[in-house]
Amino acid sequence: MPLDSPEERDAPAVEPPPAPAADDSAVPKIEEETLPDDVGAAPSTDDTATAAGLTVEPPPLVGTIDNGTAPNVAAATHLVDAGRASIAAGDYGTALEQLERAIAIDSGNPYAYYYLAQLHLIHRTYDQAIAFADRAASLSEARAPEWASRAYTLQGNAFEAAGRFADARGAYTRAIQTAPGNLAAQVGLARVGGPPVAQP
Amino acid sequence: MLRRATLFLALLGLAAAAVGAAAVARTLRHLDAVLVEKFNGRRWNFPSRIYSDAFLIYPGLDLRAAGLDDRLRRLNYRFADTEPLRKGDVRRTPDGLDLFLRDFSYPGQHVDDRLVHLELNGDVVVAMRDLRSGEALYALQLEPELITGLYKSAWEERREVPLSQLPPLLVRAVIVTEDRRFASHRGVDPIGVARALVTNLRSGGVVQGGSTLTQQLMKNFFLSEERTMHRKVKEAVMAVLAEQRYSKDEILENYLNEIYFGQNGLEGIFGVWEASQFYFARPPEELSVGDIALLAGLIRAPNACSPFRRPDRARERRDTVLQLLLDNGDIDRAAYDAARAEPLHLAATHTRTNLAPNFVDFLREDLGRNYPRDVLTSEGLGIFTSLDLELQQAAATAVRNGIAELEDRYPRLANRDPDHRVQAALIAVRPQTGAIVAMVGGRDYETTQFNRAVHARRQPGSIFKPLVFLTAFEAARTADDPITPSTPVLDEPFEWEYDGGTWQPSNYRDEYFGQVPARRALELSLNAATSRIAYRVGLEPILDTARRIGIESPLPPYPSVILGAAEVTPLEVAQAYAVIANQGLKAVVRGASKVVDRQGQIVERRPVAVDRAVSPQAAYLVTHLMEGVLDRGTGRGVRERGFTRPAAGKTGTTNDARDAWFAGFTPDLLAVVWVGFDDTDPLGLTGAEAALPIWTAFMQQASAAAPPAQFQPPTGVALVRIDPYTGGIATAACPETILEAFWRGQEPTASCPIHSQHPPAAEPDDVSAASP
Repeated sequence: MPLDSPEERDAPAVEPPPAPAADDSAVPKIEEETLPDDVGAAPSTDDTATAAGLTVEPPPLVGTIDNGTAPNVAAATHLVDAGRASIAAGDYGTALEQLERAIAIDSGNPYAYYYLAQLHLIHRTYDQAIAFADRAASLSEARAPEWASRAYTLQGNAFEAAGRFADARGAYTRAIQTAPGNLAAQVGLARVGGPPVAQP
Repeated sequence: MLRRATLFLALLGLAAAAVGAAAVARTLRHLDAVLVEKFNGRRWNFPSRIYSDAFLIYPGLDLRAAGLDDRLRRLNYRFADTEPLRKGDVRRTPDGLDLFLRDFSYPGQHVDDRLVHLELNGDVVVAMRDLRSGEALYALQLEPELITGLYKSAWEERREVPLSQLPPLLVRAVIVTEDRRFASHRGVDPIGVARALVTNLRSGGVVQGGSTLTQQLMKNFFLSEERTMHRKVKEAVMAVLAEQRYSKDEILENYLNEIYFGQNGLEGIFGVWEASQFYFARPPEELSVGDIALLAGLIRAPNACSPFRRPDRARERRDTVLQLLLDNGDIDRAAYDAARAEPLHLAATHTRTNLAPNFVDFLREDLGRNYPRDVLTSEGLGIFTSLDLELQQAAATAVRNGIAELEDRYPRLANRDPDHRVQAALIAVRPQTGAIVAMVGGRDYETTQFNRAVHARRQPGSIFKPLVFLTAFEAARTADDPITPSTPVLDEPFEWEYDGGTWQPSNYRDEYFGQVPARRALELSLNAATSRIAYRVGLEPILDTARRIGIESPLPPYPSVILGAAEVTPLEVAQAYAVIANQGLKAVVRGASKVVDRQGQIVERRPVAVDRAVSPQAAYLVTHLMEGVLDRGTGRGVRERGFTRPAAGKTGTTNDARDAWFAGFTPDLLAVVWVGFDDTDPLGLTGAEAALPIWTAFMQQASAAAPPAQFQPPTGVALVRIDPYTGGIATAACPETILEAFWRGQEPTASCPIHSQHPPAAEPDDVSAASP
């Protein structure tokens, strides 16, 4: 699968309405056909970056390295930062290489999975974006809930772009439950027709 | 009369001349067409090259355990006591290593050369910095290693390089040595021919050629080695035609990429790029004046003057070329003197051997689905893989030594027909990426090429059991009466009635343990208890789990499948276990990661592809049980053999001990080992006896370089210290306790009923943190 030139991919920016997805009983049902036209388009990374709250691009991860950080974890963190910079520069092939190498030396690095998910979202390989975001959230939920929230938001974006709106509502809801201040998740939830999530 | 006869003869002569001219013209047209086809079409067959993964160096890595020295030697780095001045130089320092890394192109990226210092504590990297900029570094890459080429019929190593990318002095050295009037002749050099003619007449045979570069090229392109006048004439005619049709530069470029430079075992070395790599382990642009002269001098007699076998003769030849360069004004006296004083900077002489033949066969089959055989052997593709050659060698050694130990300990295994010997297979995978890092398909590739790691369909036996528990824990999430690791299960004979009949699973040696926690059923590999769990869960959900996590072989709907009665391959087992190791995420197992064309453009990329197959919680719960297999169960031999890292695994033995398995993983690396006979004769040994030692030997070496990693429980999992016999929360009085994993909400809430009057057992700090 080429990951160098997303513009060459033939997936439409707006997916056709999907078959009804298995719904989450915790989220109120709405008819997918009633959703506004822009729902289903892959939220761009620019949208994500400009949204308030947790999805504003975080500072470099290298700041999380301290004396207690295991050396391989520190090396992987540097590689993730480099991968993130490569994504920002549009150099997706290099980013993929850097992120996969980060996993090779720190297999439990949630940030590497997060940016792999972002990379796949950019390339509209939504199933991959969803799976990687899931892994990122799973790895960071106990230790870094704000990152888990970011990951769920990203997963919500991918579900939304894939036309799986019920799943998107579920992901955005989990993002808000994990970090109630996540404005981007709230915006996403509103966009797919979910009710506000009660603040704890 | 005379006049008529003269006229007739004249006409006859004219006719003969006309016929002759027509024949000559036809021949010339034919030769010209052949020439054009060769020059404009594909001139050579370029083997595809298969590369290992690029090796990463980072702080925390144990260089000795990672086999860095061996890696560097295979890549033709040179260890010296002096300051590294050239790419490929290495020097040990009091506190570490100075390393002049080469630049290299990896698909989609170019890695620059770099002079670095690795600061070591013992063998472990503690810091890295760029010696030129002082910049601290966090990760470095060594260039991928060439595993082998995929050849057509002849093993020709060759890489095409444009003339503009070759050092001008190298081009000049070849010209002054082989054809000093190259710039002025038209394909044939009459002076050279006259000189050769005289020599040949004196000797009474053809002993010297006056061939120009163009003639040599024509001979190599089209003609045989035969030394006949007919061939020489044809060669000369084609050379003249070539000079009329093509420029000197085009002819020269073809020559430099075509010419034969000797032999590396069975592989012929062709072209200056390949020769430069073979003799000096450097690309042409990095060659010194002396190296260039040596290379140019080799063209005439590459084997007779081989610097590896005949260094004195090679040096003599080099000095002759240096003299020619000096005489022609291509180098000055100082350069000449310096070059003559140079030692021969030869690469470590080696015959390339394919260290991963089964893996290469696997790739050939895999890639053969997308690339015709002709493309794979002639288009010069670069195939970048996930293989780690150090781990591959560790795997090969573990298999070889493991079988030798078995045959030593059990002579009945050794005293067999050479065609029916004990076989073994090992496949190692990174669970997070699906990257195959090592593959051994049998005890001896020379004897049998059957790749058991990929193609041997064998019963997995108890290796299948974790899939039963995985299904049970997956179902537990929503079950009213969930099965947890501490759920009591009866380990007694029982009958399972199904559509086709009745199945009665029995335990190994018919030993039964009564009521046991579910955990013990897996740790001790109890057939009866495991079958009861499977009965509760249902056969179809178990088969569905198996298919979702990677078992592709047919699974007939019979209960005996849950104890491993359906045949699977080691590769399938690796895929399935990798899902468990990767917390339920299926990363498709793969060997190739990128394919590039001859120009380095990516034609196919196979990135990590993942799919959520089962929940992370269920996968973690099974992993937690499988850790117990190594710590307390049938796999405790792993610990007894000194492997102490966090690891999980499972033994497998089939009926009559025909197959012995061990599959297990650390958080970063998974390996599956199978041992048995190809003809399914009974091996008579369990997985713990035959396969476990091989697995342990491999994992000890393969995982030693990286810092140990822990299995991290996902959210939704609670770790609680319990009394393993009662299943209650452990108290200070419980004689034995165990840290057990549960779906959050399913953990026990009551204290151990036997020791409940005591306070809870103390927990280490990290446990509470891991149990949100």
